Amino acid sequence: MFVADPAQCRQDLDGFNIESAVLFPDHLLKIAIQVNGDYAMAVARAYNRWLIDKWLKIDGFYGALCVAPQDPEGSAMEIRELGRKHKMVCVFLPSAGVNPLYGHKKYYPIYEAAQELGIPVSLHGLAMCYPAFPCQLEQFDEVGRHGFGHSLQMSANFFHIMCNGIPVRFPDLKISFNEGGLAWVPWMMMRLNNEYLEWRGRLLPFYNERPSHYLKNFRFSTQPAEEPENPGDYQKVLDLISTFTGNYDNIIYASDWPHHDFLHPGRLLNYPMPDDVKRKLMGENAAEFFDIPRS
Amino acid sequence: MAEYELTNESEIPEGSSRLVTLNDIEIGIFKVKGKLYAYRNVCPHDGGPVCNGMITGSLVQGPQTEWKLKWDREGEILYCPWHGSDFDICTGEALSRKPLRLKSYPIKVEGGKIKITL
Repeated sequence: MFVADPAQCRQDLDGFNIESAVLFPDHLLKIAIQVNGDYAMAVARAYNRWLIDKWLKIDGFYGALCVAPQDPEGSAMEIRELGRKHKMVCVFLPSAGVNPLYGHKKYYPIYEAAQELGIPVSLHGLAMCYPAFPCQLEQFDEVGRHGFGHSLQMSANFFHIMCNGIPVRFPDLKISFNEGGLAWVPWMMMRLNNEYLEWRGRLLPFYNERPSHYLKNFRFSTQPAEEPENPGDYQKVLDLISTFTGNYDNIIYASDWPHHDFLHPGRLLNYPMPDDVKRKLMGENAAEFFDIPRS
Repeated sequence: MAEYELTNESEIPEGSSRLVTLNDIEIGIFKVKGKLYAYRNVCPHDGGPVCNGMITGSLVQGPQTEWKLKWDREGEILYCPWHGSDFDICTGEALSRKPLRLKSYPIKVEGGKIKITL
């Protein structure tokens, strides 16, 4: 599947009854592996201005501001210049090939700028291994890279962010994790809580509660959706996440259109879930998180 | 309820502990800042012999320390030898998981003797 221009994309999304969409870059999903940080930042800046000029003038289209994690200071300048302006509603952080992971203090300038503006940072993955991230994935073909790697990119970055106390260092920073599905979230939370119980006084001194208490500003998006044996079990994944957060506010529908593995909204709508949960997943949570006007 | 008279209070120096067995129940006695505490020797996390653990302190890091690591509360934290669950000796509460709490017993000193009620 391919999107040739903004008008066609608008037409495609209308076909799915998707009114508002946050647009992420495609080829720049791998921008983190560009070894020349200055060049990466220049490409990101050019992309952002092209996106504003060509795409964000379309009704219902919002932008994910591209930055280069190799250049945190340059990224912070770009966030302060364009963040929350011109319909740029979040900062895209590439998870594929990023080194070091996003808990590292190198990225504090990005987090400071995003927190200052109240604009979320949104991790987005790609089925790519570089150089062997996160663990011998180079031994897999596309099925392993795609089916396994996406969730590992998210879970590795999430764990790194939590282990370095980002939610307490930047208590108002909003973070979303995209293209990893949802099932890894309760897995990581249970592992992290277990580690906290054992190591709090030695290795996680910044948390006064179990790490799962600090998810208020975190969002996790649905695509690629899990395939439970029984469709009703999808709700159990949501329920497990809600046991940590106390509600269903942290889950956001994501389409990944026009990629081959996109998630048709009808699939989630057909899962047996309460209507109020579906409303939250399919729009309310994202509108609140990205501060997108509701019609 | 029964009261048991134990050793002289002066035999437990400040910052130390003593393990006793009463009615087949192992109990750890601790002295922190001149005050005595008695806890059952079973960790509420996973059943470990918590009272055999180190009496130590805890790392603190946050806005109040300007994000610098600081060692704090030395001598007030009990560290379970099995999984490292840490407990505030003065309250019995777990630092790492608030609902967890050590089983405590009333303890007092009368005529220089330590008395515990089970």
